[in-house]
Amino acid sequence: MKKLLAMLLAVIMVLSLVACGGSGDAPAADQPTQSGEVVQTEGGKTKVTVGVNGTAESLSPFITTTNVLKMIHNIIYMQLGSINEEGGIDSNMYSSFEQVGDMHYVVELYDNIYDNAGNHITAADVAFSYNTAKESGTGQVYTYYENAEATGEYTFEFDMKTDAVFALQQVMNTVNIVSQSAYEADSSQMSMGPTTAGSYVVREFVPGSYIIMEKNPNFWCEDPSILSRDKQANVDVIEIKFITEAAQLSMALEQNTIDVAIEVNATVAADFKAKDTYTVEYKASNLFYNLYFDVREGHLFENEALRKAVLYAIDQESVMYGALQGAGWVNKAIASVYSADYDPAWDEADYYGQDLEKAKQLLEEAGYNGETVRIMCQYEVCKPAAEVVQANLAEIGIEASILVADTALFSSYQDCISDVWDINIMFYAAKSIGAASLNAQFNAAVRENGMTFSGIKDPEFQRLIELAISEKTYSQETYNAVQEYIKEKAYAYGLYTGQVGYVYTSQIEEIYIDGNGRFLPNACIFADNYSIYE
Amino acid sequence: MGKYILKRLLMLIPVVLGVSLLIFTLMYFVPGNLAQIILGQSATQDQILALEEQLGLNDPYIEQLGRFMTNTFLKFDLGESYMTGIPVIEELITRFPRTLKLAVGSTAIALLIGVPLGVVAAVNQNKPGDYITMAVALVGISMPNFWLALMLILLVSVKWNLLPASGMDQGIKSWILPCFSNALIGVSTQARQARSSMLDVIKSDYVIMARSKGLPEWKVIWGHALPNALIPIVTIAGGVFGNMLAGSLITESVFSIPGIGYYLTSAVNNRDYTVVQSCVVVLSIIFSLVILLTDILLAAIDPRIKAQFANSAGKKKLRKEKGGK
Repeated sequence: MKKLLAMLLAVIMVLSLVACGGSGDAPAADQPTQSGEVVQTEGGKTKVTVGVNGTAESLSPFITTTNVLKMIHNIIYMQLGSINEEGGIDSNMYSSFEQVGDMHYVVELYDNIYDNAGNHITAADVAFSYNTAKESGTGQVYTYYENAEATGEYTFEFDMKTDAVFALQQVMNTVNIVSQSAYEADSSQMSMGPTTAGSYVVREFVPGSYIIMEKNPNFWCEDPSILSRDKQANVDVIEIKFITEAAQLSMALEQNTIDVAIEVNATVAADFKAKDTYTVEYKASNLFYNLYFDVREGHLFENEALRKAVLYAIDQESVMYGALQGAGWVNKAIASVYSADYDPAWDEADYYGQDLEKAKQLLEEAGYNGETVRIMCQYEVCKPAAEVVQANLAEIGIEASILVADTALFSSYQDCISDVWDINIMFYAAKSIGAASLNAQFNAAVRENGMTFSGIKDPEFQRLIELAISEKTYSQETYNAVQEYIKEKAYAYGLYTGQVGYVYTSQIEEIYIDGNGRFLPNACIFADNYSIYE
Repeated sequence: MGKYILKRLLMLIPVVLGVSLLIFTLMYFVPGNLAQIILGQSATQDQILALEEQLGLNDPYIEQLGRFMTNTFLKFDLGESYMTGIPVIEELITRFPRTLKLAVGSTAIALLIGVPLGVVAAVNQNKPGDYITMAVALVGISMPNFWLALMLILLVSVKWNLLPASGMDQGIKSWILPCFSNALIGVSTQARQARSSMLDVIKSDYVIMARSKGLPEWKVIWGHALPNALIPIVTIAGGVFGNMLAGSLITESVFSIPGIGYYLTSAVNNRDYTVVQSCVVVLSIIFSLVILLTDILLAAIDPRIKAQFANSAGKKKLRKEKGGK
């Protein structure tokens, strides 16, 4: 019996090893795959198939819940403008754009915009889209403006409610423009097959599985050079496969069922580096990871010396290696290298850094009483970083516990008033203008209790924040002043910025990431001899 | 029999109401802020409060429960997803056939492989065939199906390139791996149950009699013993179907199949209350109906059950006649 069981276990282990071992050669890019999806024939429509680790359930223009959905919206819908690398806005639909008064804007649209059903898009449609998004849309950006109104056939005016830096760009780039009549005629509110004015139209959409988009045959713009790069149509057909299991992305690449995989981890990407048929590229993720203290009065980290003791105990490089296996950068500010206003001078300046002797000295000075420090981390993704921080704290005699909060839990616990954490390790999505992300992190004025989510109630800090986040006073200097103050007071600590791995067929010469950090397949540069056809 | 079915159908009502109450209460008390999830982490407190008010999330528990029960059971309105705005019923109609396909396929595999394995084990009791079969069943019941799924994908899809690794766009080929990996636990359960049932009947007098009559062994086993061992196997089959439905939560995620399991998993993560509540209610109704069908099937194959109902009906008739006289 024992022998029999041993044999059986051996067979199972061999089977596992066979399955895990060498993946065999991936079919050459110019060979038909088992699935027959990327079939090479001479001519026909060029096609790119993208595997994304996420999903889309509805294409409704005013519901933008996931990054994948935002990417699809960007491909099929038109927005007034797109965000460029410098954080400015490039026109998609307007011939002129003017600020009149404090926060009032007048936009003159092109007069030849039509959707794929032939509906003429006028200022009334733009006003309708803005107002409908505001009333029923799900997204914070829809709260940034009010009073959208058509004042002429092609003239559209609106008021911003906030003068926050980068808010205007986000509004102009986020609100999807649709024809009012087409939207109202569709009982599903365009959730399945929208009528769009974009350079691509939806051919097939299976929520949660895949979407196939093809070039809009009736695209209104005859000269695409007047449009932003986001709206270029460099390939005939785009298929996006929703692959929510991360391991499946690399398998889909191996099987040649996708041509591009996004957010591939470093180990998998390394496997593909050796293959001639693929290119592996890393780009800065727009997510940057930070550490925040609960600095409320009467709480452990109200004590500045204790905060500094913790920061001198942390080995940033180890944290980054633990979290990303080295595929990233350590941050020297509460900012991401992804943002255009990331100041390279920060990298040269002193930024705490592990100094255990100093940490112990500060700890003594702080009168630390041995209380266990509660570290909360945002999702599993932050857990490795939290574990390294926990180990670093142990080195100076601070015991720490870790709470991993999932999406929903984190939303409840993020604010320090939840009283479940002393240290919060979490990430923010950087904007092209880094100062824009200060608003959510440190603007106490938008909160009823007058303190930030990590309990900061500091008039001088608030003054600096307001200078940095207002469009009128924002500058590199005001932004730097905030970073300097945060460092001085040790209110928060920049940990690292990750990289996003892209593995793509070597027939794509250059991939394109838009101003929001999202991959856009339509605007990639395809090789002249691109030969993946439908 | 008609009364039996009616009685069982009526018993469904408290079961479904109980499940609804339980899932609503669980979702109500589970931590997580839907408004914050919808608006994103950079939303201000005011915006969150306004959305909570708009969605009715600040209403008292009883009010929310009453609204949910009324909408679901009196108006037959399952509501709309908070995250996508799409009516839940529309999503369920689109997604249920995929989950059903997966559950039916998995159950069929579980029965077609599990039962013969169990029979072989019973016939070869305490012999190598028995040990091997039961060892396989033990491994099957202990192995997590997501792990098996990934191993199967690596071997069958990536190494041999025989079947697609994910998605459902290649017809029946797309369903083979998901069904097999989902069925594993069912195969093991059925094999163990079939072995145990067969061992009970294999030494019965009528089986000895069949052998003494000179019938070939295969006929004795498959023609005489198995039909009498079927009752517990069929009973378990209903439960296996339920397990296959539950397994779809993982299998659909691994294979990117947009069925109810996948829908439910994302909804739980996003605290999309209406979707979670509706999916659980619908799944509980389906599961109860399957158990009912199993019982009806049992009554059809087990003359004792049929006789029990026939007798009770007959007795009542007799009492009525006596009372009338």
